[in-house]
Amino acid sequence: MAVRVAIVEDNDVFRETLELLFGMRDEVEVVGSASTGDDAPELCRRLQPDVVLMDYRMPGLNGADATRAVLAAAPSTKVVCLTASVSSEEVDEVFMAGAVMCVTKDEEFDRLVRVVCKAAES
Amino acid sequence: MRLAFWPGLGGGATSLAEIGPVLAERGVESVTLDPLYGRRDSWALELLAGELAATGADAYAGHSWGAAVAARAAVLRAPCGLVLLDGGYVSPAEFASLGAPETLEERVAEIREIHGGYRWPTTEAYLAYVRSESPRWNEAIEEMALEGMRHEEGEVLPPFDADELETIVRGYEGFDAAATLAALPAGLPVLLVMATPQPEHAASREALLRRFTEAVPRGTIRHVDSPHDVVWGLGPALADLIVDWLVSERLL
Repeated sequence: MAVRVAIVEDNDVFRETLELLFGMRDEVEVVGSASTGDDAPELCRRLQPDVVLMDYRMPGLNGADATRAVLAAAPSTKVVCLTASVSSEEVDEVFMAGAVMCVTKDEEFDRLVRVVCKAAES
Repeated sequence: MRLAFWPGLGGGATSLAEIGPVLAERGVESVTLDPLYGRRDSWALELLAGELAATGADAYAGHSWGAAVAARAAVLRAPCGLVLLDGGYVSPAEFASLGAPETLEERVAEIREIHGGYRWPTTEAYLAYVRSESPRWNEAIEEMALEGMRHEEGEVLPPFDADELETIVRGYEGFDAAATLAALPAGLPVLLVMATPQPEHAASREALLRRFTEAVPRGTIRHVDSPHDVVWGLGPALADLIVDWLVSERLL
């Protein structure tokens, strides 16, 4: 059964590309997406996705604050944070907020799929 | 017919400024994707390919590194035609056979060194250099040349800094040309435009082109008299070449 994923990412091109690439994989189904952290909690309350792929730097709620709000709205959802770098305090912050994994945006797409699947099993 | 184009490394959104109107006159609407140097978090080739595929264009095209992006895009979502401009048929791991350093680390060191030499005190000095290197010159080429640079602390510099360039090169490294060509949709018409080879690498290149021919049954190779940047080198003649091929393949 495919992992149900929601994508929260303010960069339209990057978000649409992820939707397209995930759409070509049997392991994953994109059930929804949002372009701001503010929209993420309602999206997840409504869809209850298995995994949320969450950007960190967004207008409004940042990735950490949005993670807390998403987990309050959909407690069984796993949050995977997407960051532009791995060595920042942001990473610690999103783990503190409840994210289960953190990946950088320059990862190969295959690894991103594996991370999402693993997060769903965690 | 819509054709989406990914430029070669250093090229930007105006890369088809000269040939776009010629393509349009002959029924091909071109869209050039902006690589967004300095404004992108990921240079993973698959994600770039996804952007090209997401245009929903009828045909994909790319130059050099951009040809690799276009070829991967054709694997992700089948176009009706694919145009590879002096790229996409060879993996970075095979560049050594064409005269590049053997290892990725050596190539990264070399390209960083070259990048370090690309700095000019004024726009005029930069344009004088580009003009001396260019096989042709006109207003559209000057526009493209100006787009390909940025100003920083009184100098004219490449559009990306050395670290971003290295990230792009490392993202390109995973491109497997043989696997990609083998994975192209069956029967996909592919045009490969090859620039003038350096004589000492002609044999290696021939071997790579044989592999292309074997992997792509509906592939067409056109050898042209041009430097590696065939968009710049051929100008409107490249547009005619592409359109003639589209017509010959009954895609237009």
